[in-house]
Amino acid sequence: MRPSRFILNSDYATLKNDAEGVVQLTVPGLVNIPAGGANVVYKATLQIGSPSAGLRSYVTSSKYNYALSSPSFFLACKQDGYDSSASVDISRNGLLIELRVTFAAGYGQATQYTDMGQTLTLHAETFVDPFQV
Amino acid sequence: MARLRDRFIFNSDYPIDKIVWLKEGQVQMQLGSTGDDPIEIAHDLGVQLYVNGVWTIDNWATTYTFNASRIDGQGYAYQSLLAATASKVYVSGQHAQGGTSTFKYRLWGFLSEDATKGIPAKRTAGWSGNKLVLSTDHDYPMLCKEGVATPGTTITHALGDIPYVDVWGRSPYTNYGYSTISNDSFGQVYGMGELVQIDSQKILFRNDSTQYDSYYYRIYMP
Repeated sequence: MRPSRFILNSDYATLKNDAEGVVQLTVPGLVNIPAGGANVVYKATLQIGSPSAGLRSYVTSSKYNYALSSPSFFLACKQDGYDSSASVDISRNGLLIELRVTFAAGYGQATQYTDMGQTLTLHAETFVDPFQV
Repeated sequence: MARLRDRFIFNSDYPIDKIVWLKEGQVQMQLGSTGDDPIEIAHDLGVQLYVNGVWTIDNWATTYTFNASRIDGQGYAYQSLLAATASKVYVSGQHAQGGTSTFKYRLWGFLSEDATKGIPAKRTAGWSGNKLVLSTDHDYPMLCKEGVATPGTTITHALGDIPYVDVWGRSPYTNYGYSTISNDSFGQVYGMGELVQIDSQKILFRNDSTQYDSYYYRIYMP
């Protein structure tokens, strides 16, 4: 029977890409957090790949004409009229890749975030766990 | 004498990543601190190593890539550092929630393509998942370009689409060598500035920030 697969082997390790996906998250242009309120978190999830595997990603924004490849970064905005930022992080919870944007609550006071309305698009590719036995 | 057509030659214009160093381990992390000094892991490759990996504090229920910081609950943050020189790898983490936690990590390291000569592949034996078995079951990231750039430099890749890019930066304030980058931003934030802007034609390593004095980058085919 003719073999159906071509296989080439090397002793060097590499990262095997097993899945790729895209997810979008829209952040509103206005967030009000009342006095004593909790952080406000927006998130979008993407289910691809295998758990605890490596991840390579980049994020684009409808507000900017370039992408960032960092797994966590900041979004410039205004907080109560002053320059501030929201925190953005990418994590993996089981099979779910989460893109989260967090607006921190004020210290016991009401606070308002503005000027950050945009849509973030996460492009992610995952790899077979290189520590798989 | 064998004819040339009898020889099988597998050829590509794009190198496939070669991992030359793998390490997994764990360390008890004191939470609530501003971060302990990084643990040091010696490697004997003798050339600059560029490491990446994943970490967890809940036994791999949730995983993060390195230099991912997270604001959680009422402002509690996870932060991590992963860096390497020509002789050591540095790993640290912190968590502002209090108590202690087991910080587990899995790391893999690359050399620059120019430096791979003479590095025995046996250094990565031990895990079947890491072996390069080139088959049609997986897609292998194709490395288009790699190199070192200084802040203020633009690298043209002209791929026509935004590529995946791994970037490490070297801080002038530490002896930890090249680390995965952090504190990047969309827009100017507290004067930190954006660090690495990627588009469909080029990568701009900005000089707004003094956080890094040079970058090592690996650009993969989109």
